[in-house]
Amino acid sequence: MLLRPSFQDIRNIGYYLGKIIVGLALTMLIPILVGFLWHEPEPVIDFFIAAEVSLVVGLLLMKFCYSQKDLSWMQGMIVVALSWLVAMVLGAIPLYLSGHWHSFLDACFEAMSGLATTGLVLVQDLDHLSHSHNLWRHLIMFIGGQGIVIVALSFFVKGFSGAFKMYVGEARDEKILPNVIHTSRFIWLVSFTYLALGTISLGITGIALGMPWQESFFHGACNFMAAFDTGGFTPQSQNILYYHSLSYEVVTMVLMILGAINFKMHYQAWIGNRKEVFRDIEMLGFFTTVIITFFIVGAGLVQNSTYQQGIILFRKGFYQLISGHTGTGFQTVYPSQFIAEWPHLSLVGIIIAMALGGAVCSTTGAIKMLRIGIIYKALMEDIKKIILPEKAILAQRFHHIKTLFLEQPQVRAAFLITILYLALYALGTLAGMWFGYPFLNSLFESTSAAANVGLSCGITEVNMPAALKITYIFQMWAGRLEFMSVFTLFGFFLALLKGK
Amino acid sequence: MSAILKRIAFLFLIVLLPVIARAEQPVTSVELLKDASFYNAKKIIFEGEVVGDIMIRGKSGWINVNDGGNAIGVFAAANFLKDIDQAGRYGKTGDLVQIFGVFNRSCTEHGGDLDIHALNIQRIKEGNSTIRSIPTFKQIILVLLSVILIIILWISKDSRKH
Repeated sequence: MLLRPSFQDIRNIGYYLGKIIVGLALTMLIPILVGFLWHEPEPVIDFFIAAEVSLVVGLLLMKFCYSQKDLSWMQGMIVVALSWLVAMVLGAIPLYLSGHWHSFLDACFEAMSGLATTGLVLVQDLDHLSHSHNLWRHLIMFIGGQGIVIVALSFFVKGFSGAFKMYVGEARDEKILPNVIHTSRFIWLVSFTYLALGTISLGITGIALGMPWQESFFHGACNFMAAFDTGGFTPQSQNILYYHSLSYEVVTMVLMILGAINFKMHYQAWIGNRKEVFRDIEMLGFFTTVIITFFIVGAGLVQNSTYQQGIILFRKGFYQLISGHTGTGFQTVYPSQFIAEWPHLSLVGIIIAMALGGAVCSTTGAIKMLRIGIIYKALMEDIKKIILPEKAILAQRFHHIKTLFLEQPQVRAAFLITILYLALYALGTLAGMWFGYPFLNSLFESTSAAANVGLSCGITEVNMPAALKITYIFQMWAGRLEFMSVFTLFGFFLALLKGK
Repeated sequence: MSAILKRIAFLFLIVLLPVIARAEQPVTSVELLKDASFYNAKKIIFEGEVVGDIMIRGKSGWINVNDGGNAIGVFAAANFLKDIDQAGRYGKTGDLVQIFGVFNRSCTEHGGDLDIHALNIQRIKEGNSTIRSIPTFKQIILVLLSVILIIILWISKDSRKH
C-alpha cells in the first residue's frame, strides 16, 4: 500500500530545496563580476534577472516551507532529484535571455548538459557569446561536477544529519573523511587546487600559442572546468580544434584523466600513499579498458586507412578515446567526421569506452570502473567454483583503498546499476531510431548523453525533434544521479496521486 | 585533323567545366566536411568571418574562419595575418575574409587536423561593433523583480522579529 506523503514531508523538501536555490542564485554573482570586467552590460542584466528570479523562488520556498526537522532518506533523495531539475530551469534563464538559444527548451538542454557534465551543445553562434554567458556554461559544469548539493553542503549548510542522505542522492556513496561536510570540503579543496594549477598551465600554454593573456587565462579557466569535471564544453565552436596545438591536447588529456579518478584516490595521493594508484581495482580497471578499447578504435582506423601516419592515428584515436572513456567529450575531429570518416569498428570502441566511464566518486558518469571490477571478480569467482573441488571454500578479494572481500550485496548492486545504465542507453537509442536516425548514430549519441560524455556524431543539433531533446535531458539527469533519487521522485509523485 | 582536335578539346572542356567551376566558386564548410575526401589536397576558395583570436606563432600563425556553418582553422604566413584587424567575438563582427588555399582532410603537418593552408588571404569587409543598447523589456523585468525581492526580504525580516 502506498502512503500519501504528509504535509511535513512537502515542507521539509521545499525548505531545503529553497536553500539550494538561494545557493545557486549566489553563484550567479560570478558571471556578473565577469560581465563587469569585460564591459558586457546586457549579459550582466541577464544574470541579475536570473539571480533575482532564483532568489525570489528560493526565499519564498524557505519562508512558506520553514522547517527545523532533519531530512528523511526519502526527502533527501527527492530534494536532490528536484534540485537538479530546478537548477536546470533557473540556470537556463540567463542562457535564453542571451538570444543564443532558439528556444527555452534548448537553453534547458544546455543547462542540464552543463550541470550533468555531459557537454552536448545546442548553442547557436557560440563564437560571439559573451564572456559572462560562456563562463556560466562552464561554471555550471564545475558546480554539477562536484554536485549541486555538495555546493550547498559545503558553503550554506552548517551541518545536519540529513546531509549524508543528499550526498548519497547525488551518486556519491563513498565518504573520504568520516564527516560528510568535511568530505565535501575536501572535494572542493582538491578541485580549487587543480583549478589554480590547471588554469595556470592552460593559460601559459595559450599565451605560447599566440593568444592574448586575458583570453588565454579565460579559456584556461573554462577549459579546466570542462576537463577536470569531465564536461566537454569549450568557449569556441571548434572545441579543442580551435587551438591547433599538441601541447593543449596533452594538458587537457591529463586534466581529463585526473577528473576521472576517484576523489578517494586523490586523497591517498595527497597523504603520500601513491602505491594505491597501482593497486586499486578502479585504476587497474581503467588502464585495462583504455588499452582494450584503444585496440578496437585503432584496429578500425588502421583497417579503414582513415589516417595515413601512425602518429596521427594515435593522436586522433587516443584523444577521442580518453575523452570518451573519462566522460569528457572534448573533440579534435568534427562531429560529422565521426560518421563520414571513422569506421564502425572504431565507433563501437568509443561507444564501449563511453559506456564504461571512470571511477566512482569522481566527476564522470556511466557504469564506472568499481562496478565493472566487481562484476569481473564475481565472474572469476563463479568460474573458480566450477573448476575447483566442491568442498573448496572460496573467498574472492579486491583492493579498493583497502583489501575487501567480495560480498553478494556488492555484486547485486553493481549488476543492478549496470543493467539500469544499459536500459538507459537502449532507451535513447530506440528514441533516436524512432525519429529516423540510423542505429549506430542513435546508439552513439544516446550513450554519450546517458553516460554524460558529450561526444557527438551530429544528431544533437538545433533542428532535432523536441521529444528527442527531452529524452536526452532525461538521460543526462538520470545518468548523472545514478537512478535512485530519480526513482524516489517518481515514487513520491505516484504516492501523491494514488497514496492513502 | 584540326576538326578532331577541336572536338576533343570541346569534349575535354565539357568534362572539366564542372570541376573548374567548382574550384573557382567559394566552397562552404558544410561541403568541405561532407566531401572532405573529394576536396582533400585541392586548392579551394573559402569565405567567412575571422573569429576568436589571431594566433601568430613566429613566421606563421592560425586564424579560425566561420562561414556561418562551421569554423575551420586556416594556417597562413604571418604577413597575411597582419592585415586582419578584427576577429569576431561578443560585441564585434570580425573581418570577412576570402581564403585561397589548399584544403587538408587530415593535415600531416598539423597532427591530422582538418585545415586550410592559405596561399592568399583577402579582406572583403572590415569587422564592426555590434554592441546594442539594453532592451526595455529586460530593464522593466529587472525593476519589477527587484521590487518583489525587496518586499520578500522585508516580510522575512519582519516575521523573524515577531
